[in-house]
Amino acid sequence: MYRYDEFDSAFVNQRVSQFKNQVERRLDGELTEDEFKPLRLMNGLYLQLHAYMLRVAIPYGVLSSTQMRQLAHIARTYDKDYGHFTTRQNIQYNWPKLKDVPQILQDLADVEMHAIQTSGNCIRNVTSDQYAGVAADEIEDPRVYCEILRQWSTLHPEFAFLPRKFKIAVAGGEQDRAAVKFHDIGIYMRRSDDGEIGFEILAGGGQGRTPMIAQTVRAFLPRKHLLSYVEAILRVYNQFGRRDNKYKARIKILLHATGIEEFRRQVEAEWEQIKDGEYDLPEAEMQRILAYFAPPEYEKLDAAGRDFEVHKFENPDFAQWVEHNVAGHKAPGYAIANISLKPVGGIPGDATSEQMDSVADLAERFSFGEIRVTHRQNLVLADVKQADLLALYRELCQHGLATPNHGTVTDIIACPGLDYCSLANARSIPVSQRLSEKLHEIARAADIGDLHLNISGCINACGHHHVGAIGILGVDRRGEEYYQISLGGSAFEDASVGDIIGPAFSADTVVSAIETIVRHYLEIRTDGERFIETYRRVGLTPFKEKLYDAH
Amino acid sequence: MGMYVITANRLSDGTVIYYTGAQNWSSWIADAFVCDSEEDTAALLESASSTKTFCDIVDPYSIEVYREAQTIKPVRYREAIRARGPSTHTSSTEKPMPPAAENQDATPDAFLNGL
Repeated sequence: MYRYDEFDSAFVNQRVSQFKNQVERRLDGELTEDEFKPLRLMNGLYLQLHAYMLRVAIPYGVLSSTQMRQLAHIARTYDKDYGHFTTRQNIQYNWPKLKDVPQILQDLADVEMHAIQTSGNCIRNVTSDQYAGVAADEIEDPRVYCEILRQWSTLHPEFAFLPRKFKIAVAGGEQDRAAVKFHDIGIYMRRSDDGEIGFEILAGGGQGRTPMIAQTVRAFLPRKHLLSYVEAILRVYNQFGRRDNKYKARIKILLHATGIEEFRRQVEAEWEQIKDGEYDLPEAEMQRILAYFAPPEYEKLDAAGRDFEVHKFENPDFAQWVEHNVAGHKAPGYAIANISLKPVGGIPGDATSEQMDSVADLAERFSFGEIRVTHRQNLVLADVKQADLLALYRELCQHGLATPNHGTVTDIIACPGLDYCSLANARSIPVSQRLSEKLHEIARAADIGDLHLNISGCINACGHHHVGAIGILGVDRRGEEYYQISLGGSAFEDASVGDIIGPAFSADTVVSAIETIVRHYLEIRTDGERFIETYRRVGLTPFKEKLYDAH
Repeated sequence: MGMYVITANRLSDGTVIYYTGAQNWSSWIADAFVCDSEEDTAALLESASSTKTFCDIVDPYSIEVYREAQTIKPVRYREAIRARGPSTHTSSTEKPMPPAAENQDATPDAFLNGL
């Protein structure tokens, strides 16, 4: 993985020093809150309902064991012994004290991490496919380009005050595991007809109160032009994006208002001014960064060992975990292990400091000391020998990390909701916990299969409710929590925004409403049909009739 | 006619606090000074903002409350959660009961709509 150079190290340590001074001046009363607030937000520090919240950037979701241990240390020392992994592949701490934050940032800097640009109207943490570098369908490792974009976007003076926050995702293959089409700029690696590797560049995707699927701005862009083209898009957005209304300030609104043809013309015109110049990626620099992401030294192994099959036969729980949580790896004899942070009835995305330490140890023991964080709030060990999976599974069981539900209905995305977030209208976590228990009960009797259930506590959609096959949005109705249900969303390559099924449900009835939907799906599905496929076949009406007849 | 109290967050750690009307702040809503009309909240807010410790207070504002069984409860759900603490993570994040528990809301979960 990428290591800081002297520039990275210098600016991160400089920022720690600056923020230490700013916190001291605030605590001394020298700075007012109005003066201090923009400074703390530039360092990822929010003031939420009950406490400060610090959001730490995990570039494209990749962590070393050393970094994970430091995250555990921070949770243990300065917080309440846990951290919350987010849908931007970051981690949030919900209870830091203001006086401790400079030291937390120093602890982060010591392991080449920071909280810069995790808030504010700037380019946020670039996200990627958690299977980057190991997926069989990959054209090239997207982390290389995520890192190039990270270096370009960090402290970029022209884009420090955009009309609104700006999110970029890069995926390396045909399968989209990074919700690329719901980003301000989405990037797919592509191969041209003559075999050249480059990118398809999309723009204008997003969730929030106006969900939109990104549109292709350029079907193929050679690699060396990545920065100049992205810069051109940002310049058009920075110039024409609305600043008079925060609800209409994202690039998706600009692109929708302008139309894709005119938007593309503007971008291309801007690009003509800057292409083939200083923004071109020098081949040597690209190779230098590429070297950081070179594959580890895999052993030459057989594709499928007999012992592995025997272990699965003898241990049904292990077999179930393999079925759901283990994915194919490009190297023979290796596997990708998904670590669920969604225990049944637990809090989605939370990990205790003890669990973080354990994952760090297991990564060192089984996966070259590297961990990935997923936008679905889980963790991944990407390079595990198939022969080690049983030992890994047993260790994960010891630490409450072996729930075999990756990609299933209890693998729920949930934002912090009104339990923590000052923007939320309703709680997400308790609803997701009750849903998890109820749906686990149903899943024990029937194989529900792949079904993505996402819940947000407000229209900002941090819980990605628009793209859940079942989505739940918490709303405030005359001072009470209600939950609006949508069906048919997808964050994958077949991207779609869910359709609202009808009037919202109370906190007391939302779980049984979801149960009704899931049970109806089980009744009407054809063999092997996933929920999203059934929904696309039959549409909203049968579910709606069933739901409102029952409630 | 509604009842109102002044609330804010403490600068040092973000803790939810309430103005007691005695140039002081408490982390317990039961200690809050209750103002009987919305018109008077401006004066109360001004008084709260002039306390010696004001520089340790972030963003004070007024909220509507009501009395029930001799306790003060926020009208809005959001404020009920602020008063009580998160309804989840209970082992580590639940707001501890105040010293004189009999004077406080003995059934805090009543705020939380049955979840």
